[in-house]
Amino acid sequence: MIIKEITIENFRSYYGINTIKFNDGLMIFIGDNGDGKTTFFEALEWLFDTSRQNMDSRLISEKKISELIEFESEIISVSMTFEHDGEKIIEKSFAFTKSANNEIKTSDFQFKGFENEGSERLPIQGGRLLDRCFEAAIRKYCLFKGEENLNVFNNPDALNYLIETFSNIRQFEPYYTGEDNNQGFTDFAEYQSRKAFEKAMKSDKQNSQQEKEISSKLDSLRRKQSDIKQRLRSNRENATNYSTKLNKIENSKEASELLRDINDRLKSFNDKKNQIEKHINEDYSINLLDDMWILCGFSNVFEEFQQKVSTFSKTKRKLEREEDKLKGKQELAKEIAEGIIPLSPNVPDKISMLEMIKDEFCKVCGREAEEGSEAYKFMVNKLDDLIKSQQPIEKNEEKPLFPNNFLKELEQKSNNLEYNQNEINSLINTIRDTIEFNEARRSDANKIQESIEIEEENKKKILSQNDGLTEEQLQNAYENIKNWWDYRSQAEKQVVLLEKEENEIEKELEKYQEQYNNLAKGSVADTSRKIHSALEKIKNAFKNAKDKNTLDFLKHLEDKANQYLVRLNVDGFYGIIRIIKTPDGSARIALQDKNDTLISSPNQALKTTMFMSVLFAVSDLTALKRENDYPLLFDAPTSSFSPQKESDFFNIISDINKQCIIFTKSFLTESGVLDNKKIEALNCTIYRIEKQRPFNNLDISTIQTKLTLIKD
Amino acid sequence: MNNKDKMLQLVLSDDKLRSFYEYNVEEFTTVKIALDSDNPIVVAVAKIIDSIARNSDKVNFKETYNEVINYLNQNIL
Repeated sequence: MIIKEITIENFRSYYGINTIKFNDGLMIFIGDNGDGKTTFFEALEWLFDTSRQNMDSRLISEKKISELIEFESEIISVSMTFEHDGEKIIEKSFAFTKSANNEIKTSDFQFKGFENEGSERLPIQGGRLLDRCFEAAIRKYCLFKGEENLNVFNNPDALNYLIETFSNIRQFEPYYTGEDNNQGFTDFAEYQSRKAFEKAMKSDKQNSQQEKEISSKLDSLRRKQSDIKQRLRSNRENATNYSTKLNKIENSKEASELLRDINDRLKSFNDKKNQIEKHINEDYSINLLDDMWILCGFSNVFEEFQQKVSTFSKTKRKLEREEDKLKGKQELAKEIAEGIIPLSPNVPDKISMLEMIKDEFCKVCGREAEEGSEAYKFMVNKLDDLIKSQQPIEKNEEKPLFPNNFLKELEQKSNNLEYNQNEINSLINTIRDTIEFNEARRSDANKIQESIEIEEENKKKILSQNDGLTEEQLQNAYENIKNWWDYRSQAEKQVVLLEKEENEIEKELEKYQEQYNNLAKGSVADTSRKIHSALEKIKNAFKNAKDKNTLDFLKHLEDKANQYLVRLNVDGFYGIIRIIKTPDGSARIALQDKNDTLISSPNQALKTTMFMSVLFAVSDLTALKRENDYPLLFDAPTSSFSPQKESDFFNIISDINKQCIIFTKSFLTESGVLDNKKIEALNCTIYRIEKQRPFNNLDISTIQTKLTLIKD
Repeated sequence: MNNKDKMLQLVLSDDKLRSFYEYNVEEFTTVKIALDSDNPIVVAVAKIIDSIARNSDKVNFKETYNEVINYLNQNIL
């Protein structure tokens, strides 16, 4: 894949449409800090990200945003034309609109692609086209930001990926896996032939006792071997996992410190905010009635209410007195009307009355009272009255004049509300003070909340830049480093021990297998033995071929890298690159001298050329395997180089037959102008990246990047 | 040299296999040549590489195994 043209439109400082044509050799973009080098690089990272639809409004040019009027829309886009089995185009874009409250809304994400087929231009999904022409895994070896990220083997899976992708190792998978599950043909064939051989041996009665003994020993050793293999796998996985974590944390040290500071500040802000919010009491509806704030708005009504309650109270008392008087009069009138006060109904008593009725004689007045006579009827009536009077009397409750207590309640309310106008005025002051106090606290809390939001945003950025590590892992980086270091070291020690044990068991197995084979010689099982022995040797030959294939690949990579290292280090010590496979299956790049002495801490410039040499070598191998090259893009890869080394470096790179795009602030003098003498000496295309002048130092919406071709 | 031939070379280069079954690896530059060899092990290796390269499904394992076993049965003695 060769990049032919890139167009950046409204991406951060790249305001409007900016188109750059590329050639297939070295291209240098020279710019000072803040001029837009990294933004160019990030525009390409955004374009190459096929994993998600990122419509972050922070990607949009602030200058373009400031120019938008309400409800107006614009487009942000990055497109690339490239050569890969014919010309192809990918274009990523989204629209943005300014809403009524000046907010920016993003929409309509598109990732389009086009490829030419004959004279026709066919549309295709951009992500799919990019992944097809420029695999995501290869992109890892293509974009490099800063010198510290050049070591591709910081990722423990990198070596395995390279081996699997660019060596022929995958071709061995159907033939040999070395696992117990017979996934490879030679694993399967060796197992089947062994079973057939053992069956033939068991059917031979001559050696049955010895066969049993050796066979049992072999079974036990094979079980041990299987167990060791399992443990080896698990320990290797552990070592890899901890290596990955350690590498990530190592790369995230700075982020970890920043996160700690942010979390400390967040805690302090949150404590302050909580403290302030404790003092805020905005339950105004409760104050309205409990503290009678409501009176402030209804003082006339309140006065009227008090007067009415007073009037009702007086009227009620008057009516009650009149009612009492009326009742007294009625009772007195009744007594006067009856004249004589009657005796109690108990006189005479019930027994006496019954006796007198029975005797038909009134023993009170001493007169005959025959049945049916008036006197007799009088006594019977009297007895009935007596019996009735002894029955429980149904109370005839008198209905009170005012059966409800409404007026009393009103009086109580009125008494509780003994406020005068002065007090109401004072209430108004209290309300004003309370509201002002609450508003001041609320404003303080809001200011703190703004700081909290800024810190939260910073935290999100840090976490998003450290994909794969949780906040907790980042936060506990220092505590974890020690533990993970120990765990990895334990796992690696276990791997060494288990490998030793595995070798011993293999030797023992060989010994017993030989005894077993010797037992079979000349017996009926001899043919089966020969076949099994042949297939076992073939299986081992496939295993060794697979290992040799990996070693050859690493040797090839090393040789290529060393060729580049020689070219990139003119007139200086450079040593020999070694790619060392670690027990966990990952790799590290080291520098040695010709006596195999490890150069433990090479200077940064040498380190950078070492890592770049490996990258060029990887790129060469990719080109060889894929029959297609891909570009290498570096942002500020030579920060640690001396001016002379830098010039030499760029001259050498310009001679390498590879599309290489480098963003750098080299070739600028201390005053920020181009060093034309050095530029003259370079043999490549050079662009100048700078801020369009004039601009306001304090206003980001005045910043626009300008690209000028200064050397073709 | 195609991938099958490269693999054949790598496998036949194995020291133990070469010394035990006594063949000269340089003679077998392609799978096709190896299939015509007089050495049964060289033929068996070539048969395995050729058959599995054509079909690496497990179903084919049994067929290839039977073919190799029958061949060795007749030629290894």
